Amino acid sequence: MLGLLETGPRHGYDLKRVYDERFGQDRPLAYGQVYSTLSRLLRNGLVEESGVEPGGGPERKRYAITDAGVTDVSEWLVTPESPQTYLQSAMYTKVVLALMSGRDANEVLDAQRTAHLKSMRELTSRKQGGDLTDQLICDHALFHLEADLRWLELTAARLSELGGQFTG
Amino acid sequence: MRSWLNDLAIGVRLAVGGGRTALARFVLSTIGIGLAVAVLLLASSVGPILDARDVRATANQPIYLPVAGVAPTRYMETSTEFRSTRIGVTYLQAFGATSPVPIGIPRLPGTDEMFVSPAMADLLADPLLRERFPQRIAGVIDRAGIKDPLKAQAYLGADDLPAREVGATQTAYGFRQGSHVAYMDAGLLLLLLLGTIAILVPVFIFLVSSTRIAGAERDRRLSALRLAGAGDRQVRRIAAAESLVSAGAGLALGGGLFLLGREVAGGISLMGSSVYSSDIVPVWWLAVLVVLSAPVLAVFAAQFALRRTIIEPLGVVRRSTPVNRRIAWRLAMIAVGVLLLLWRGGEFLDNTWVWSVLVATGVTLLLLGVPALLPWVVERTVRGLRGGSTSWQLAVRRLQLDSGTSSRVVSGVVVVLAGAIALQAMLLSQARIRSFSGSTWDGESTVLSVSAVGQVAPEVEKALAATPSAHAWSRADTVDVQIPGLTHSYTQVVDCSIVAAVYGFHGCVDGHIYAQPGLDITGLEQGKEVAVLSTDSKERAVSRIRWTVPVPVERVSFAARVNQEFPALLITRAAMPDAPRTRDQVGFYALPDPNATDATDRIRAALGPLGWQVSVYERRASFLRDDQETYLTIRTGLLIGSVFTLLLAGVSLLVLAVEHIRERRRPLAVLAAGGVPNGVIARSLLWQIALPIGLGVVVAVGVGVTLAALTAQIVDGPVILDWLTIGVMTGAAAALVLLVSLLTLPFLRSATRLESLRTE
Amino acid sequence: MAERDDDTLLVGSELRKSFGPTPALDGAGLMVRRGEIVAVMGPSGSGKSTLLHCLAGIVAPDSGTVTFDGQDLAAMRDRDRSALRRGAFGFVFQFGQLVPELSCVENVALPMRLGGTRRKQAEAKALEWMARLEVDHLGGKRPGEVSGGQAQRVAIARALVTEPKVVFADEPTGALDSFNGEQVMRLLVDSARETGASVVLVTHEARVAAYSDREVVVRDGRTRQVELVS
Repeated sequence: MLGLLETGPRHGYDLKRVYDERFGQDRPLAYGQVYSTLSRLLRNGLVEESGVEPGGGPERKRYAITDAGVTDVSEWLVTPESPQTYLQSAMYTKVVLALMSGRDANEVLDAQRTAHLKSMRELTSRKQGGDLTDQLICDHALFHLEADLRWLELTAARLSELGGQFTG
Repeated sequence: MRSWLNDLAIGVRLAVGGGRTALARFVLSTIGIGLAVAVLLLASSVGPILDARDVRATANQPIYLPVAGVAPTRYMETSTEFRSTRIGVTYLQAFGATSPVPIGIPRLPGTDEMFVSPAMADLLADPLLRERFPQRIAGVIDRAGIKDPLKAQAYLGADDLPAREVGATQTAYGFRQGSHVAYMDAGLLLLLLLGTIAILVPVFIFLVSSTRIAGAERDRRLSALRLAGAGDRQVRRIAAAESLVSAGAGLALGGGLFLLGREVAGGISLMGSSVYSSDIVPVWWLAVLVVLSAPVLAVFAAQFALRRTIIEPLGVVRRSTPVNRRIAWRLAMIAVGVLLLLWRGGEFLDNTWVWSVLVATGVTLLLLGVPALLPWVVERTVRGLRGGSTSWQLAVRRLQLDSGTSSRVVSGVVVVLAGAIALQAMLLSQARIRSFSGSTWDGESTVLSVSAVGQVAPEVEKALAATPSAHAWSRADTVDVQIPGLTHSYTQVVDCSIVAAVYGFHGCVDGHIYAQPGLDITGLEQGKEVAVLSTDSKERAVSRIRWTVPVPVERVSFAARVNQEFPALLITRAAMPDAPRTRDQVGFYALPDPNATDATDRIRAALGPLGWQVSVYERRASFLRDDQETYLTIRTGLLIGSVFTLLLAGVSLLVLAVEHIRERRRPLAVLAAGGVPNGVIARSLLWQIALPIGLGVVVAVGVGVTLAALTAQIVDGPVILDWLTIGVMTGAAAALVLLVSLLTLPFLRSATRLESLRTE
Repeated sequence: MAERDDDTLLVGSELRKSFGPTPALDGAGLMVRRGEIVAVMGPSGSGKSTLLHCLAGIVAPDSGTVTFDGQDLAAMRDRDRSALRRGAFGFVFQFGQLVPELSCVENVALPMRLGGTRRKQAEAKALEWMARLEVDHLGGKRPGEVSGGQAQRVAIARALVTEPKVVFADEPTGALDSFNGEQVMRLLVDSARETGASVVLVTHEARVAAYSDREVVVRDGRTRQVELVS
C-alpha cells in the first residue's frame, strides 16, 4: 500500500480502488482493512495526512508518503521474496494419495490436466481482453498452473518407469 | 503454360539473388560450366582448324603433266633456321611469261626478289638474317599460301635451278588447291580417339558435378517449397529452372572465354604450330550440340540427383538411410566397354567410321566406369573401417554416412588419371612402332651439317675457312665400302678435328680407322683391298676406287650416334685421302665457335650467297616421316588438351571441396565449438579426400592399364607400361588433390568460426 | 471417436505409421471442426508431430484414413494434395519452413506464386498480411536476417495468406522465449479466428495449449480424446 502511495497522495477510497484493480481480482480489500493499515502507517511515521478534500459525502482525508516511508518501500522492494515451496499443497497430497491407492498415474494426470487447462484457458482469454495488470496477474497464475502440470507429467513419467512403487 | 512459366520464374529467383551463399553457389557452378563449355567449344573447333591448315598446306599442289601453251615453273623447297626459328625457303624459276605462280603471291619473284610471310618479314629486321637474304622484298605472301600464320616463309627467285633429276627440284605446269585425303592408320586414329575421349570425359563429369553443387542445401530448399504447396512435378520444374540459370550463365561465360581464347590463340605458337583466330570456328552442329548439352546435362543432372530423394515436404528430416549402391550396372558398363573394344565389329569394319564409333564408345564406357565404380568402392571400403585417431575416426564415420560427395569430388581427377595412363601407354607403344625416340642428335656440342651441290664445294670450303665463327670444319664423304658386313652401315670419311663433336669420341688420330662394336668387319683386315664407291641421291654409283686398308680397324664405342638406324664406320681423312665423292651432293661438318655470339647464324650467313646450292642443318632434329609428324602433332595436341583438362580438374576439385566445406559448415562449427582443435578437423577433411583419392588411384590404374592393354591389342602393338611415369602421374594426381585440400583450409577456418552456429 | 456433425472439417481415424521398426502412430484419431483450435499434447516421442504430418497429408499413413472436407487424402494424387497444402492448409513449424534464399515477402507470397498468381498481386497480398502481423517492415530481408520471433510471424503470415481452412502448427513457439512465444501465439490465434481457420496446434507446453478450444493427448502413438467440458 505504501508502494501505491509513492506514486502520489491519495485518499483511502482511492487506495482501495487502485489496489483492487491491480492486485485484488480474487480478494478485494475491505474498507476497514484499508483504514486500519493506514492508521498503523501513520503511527509509524511512514505516511502523513496531506489534506482534506472537500466534497459531497464523507470527509475525505488525503494521505501522502513520508521520506521514511519511501525508504521503507525501497527496502521492501529490493529484499527478494524467499522462494515458496509448495511441498504440502493440496494437489500434491491428492495426487500422492491417488497414486498410493492404485490409480493409473496417467489418468490422474489427464484429469488434472483437463482441470488445469480449463482454468488456464479462462486465464488466457481474460489476459487477451485485459490490460497490463490483467496480463501480469494471469501470466503469474498461468506459469504456476503450468508448473503444476509439468510436475505431474514428470511424476507420471517417473512412475510408469518405476512401476507402482507406491502401491508396493 | 502460365503455371509452368511461373514455376520456372520461381526457380530462376531461387538461383539468383538468394543472398551471399546462394550467390557463391551460383558463381561456382557458372565458372565450372563456363570452363567446360569453353573447352568443348575449342574441342569442336579442332576439326575446322586442322581442315583450314590442311587446305593451306595443300594449297600449292603442283601439276606435273605438261600443259599446252604453258611454260613450266621450276621450284625447290628447302628450309633453314635462324636463331632456332625454322624458315621455309622456296626457290622459284620461271621459264616464260606463262609460268604458273603459286597460290599466295601475285607473280613469280625475279632473281633478286623475294616474297615473304609476315613472320619472315619480322625476322628480316635482324641484319644478320638480312645478310643471308639480301634480296629485295617484293611483297607479302597471302595467308592462303601459308599453313601456319606464324610460320616464316620466303619465296625467292632463281635462274639456275638444276633439272629435276638433280637435287630436290620439281617442275610444275600449274599450282592448284589439292584435295586433302585424310588417311590415318589405325594406330594413330586410335590414339586420337583415345586422347580426345580421355580429355573430354572429365570435362563432362565436371559439367555434371558443377550442376550438382550444394545438393543437401537444395534438398532442404526444395522440401521447404513442397511444404509451401509445390507438387512434386512442380518442384522438379523449379529445380530444373534453377540449374538452367547457371547453365545459361555458364554458357555465356564459356562462349566469352572461347572468344577470348580465340583472340589469344591467334598470337601464340605452340611447338611450331600456330593458327589464325578466324580458323577457330566450331563445327556448327558440334557447337549446337555443346550449347544444347550444357542446359540439357544440367537439367538431367538435377533430375538425376533428385531420383533418390522423393522430395517430401519434410524433405531430409525423415529420410531413411540410402540404399546400398549397386555394383551390377557399374560393372556392366565396364564389361560392355571391354567387349566393344575386343570385338570392334569384327574384321570387316577395321578403320571404318563404324569402327571408330565402336572403339570410341568402348573407351568412353570404360572411362566412365571410373566415376561409376569409385563411389561403390569407397562405400564398401569404409564400411568396415573403424578405430584410429580422432581425425581418422571423424573422416571414416563421415564417409560411412555419405561417401558420395567425396567420391564425386575426386572422380574428375581420377578419370583424368585413368585416361592419362592409357594415353601414356598408347603414346609409348606408338612411338616404339614408329621407331621414334625423340631427338637423334645427342652430340656434345652444336654441329652444323652442310650439304652442297658438288660444283660449289670449293666455294663452301673457302667460305668455311674464311669465317671466324666456324672453329673447326671438315668435309664429310659418305662412302660405301664393298664388304658384306657393311651393307647396312654408315661409313664416313672425315677429319679428326670434328670427330669429338660429331661422334662423341675423343682421341681420334689421323690415319686410323674406327668401327663401332658389333659391326661385322670381316674382309677389312689390314692390307686387304676393297672397292669403295660413292652413290648419288638416286643410289647410283657415281665414283669408285680401289682401296687398301692401311691400318688395323680399331673398335670404339661412339658416345653420339651419327645415324640412328645404322652402326658407323669412321675412316679418318689420312686413311683414305682420295675418298670417292658424288658430283651432286657434298657433305661438310662445321663446328660453330661456342665463344662467339650467333656463330651458327654467322656461318649460315657466310654460306648465304650460295643460295639454293647449299643447305645447312643444325644436327638436332631428324627427318620425320609423315606418320611420325602426324604422331607428333597428335601428341602436341593431346598434351595441350591434357593440360587444359588437368587445370579444369584442379579447378573443379577446388570448387567442389570448398562447396563441401560450405555445405557442412554447421556441423564443422559444432565440432569446433565442442573443443575439437582445428588441426584435427583439417586432418579429418584431408582424410575424407585422401581416402577416396587413394582408392580412386587404384581404380584409375586398373582401368588405365586395362584400357592400355585393350588398345594395344587393337593395333597389335606392344603393351608398354612405364611404371615410373605412371607413378609420377599418380603421385601428381594425389598431390593435386591434397594441394587443393590445403587450399581450402582458409575456408575451413572461416567455417569453424563460431558465428557459423547461427541458423537461418 | 467424438461425434460427427456438419461442422466437421478434418477427420483422421485409426492412423498407423511406423518409421522402421518403431511405430510412431498406433491407431491415433482426431476430429477437427470448422474454426476450432485443437491442441495436440503429449510427451516428446509420443507421435504428435507424426499425427500432424498425417493429417496434413505430408506423410502417408501406413493404414487409416484422413478425410478433409469429405475428401480422402490418401486417394488424392500428389498434385491435388500439393494444391491442398497450397490453398487449404497453412503451416507454422518450429523453424525451417521458410526458404532461406527468398526474402520474407517472397516467402509469404510463395504459396500464391506456386498456385499461379502473378508476382505483383501475390506480393501485395503478402504485404497486407505481413502488416497484420506487424512485420511488413521486414519485407526485403531474408529469413536469416530477422529474429526468431519475427521469422515465426512471417511464417504465420505465409500460413494465413491464402486464408486456409486449417493451419497446422507444430511447436510454433518451440524456439522462442516466453515473451515472443506469447506474442506469436496471440497473433496466430487472433488471425485464425478472424479468418475462421481451424488450427491444429502441436505443443507440449500447457501455456501454449491454453490458447486452444480443447486438447487431445497423444501417448505411445494413441490419442486420448478429452471431452469438451463446457
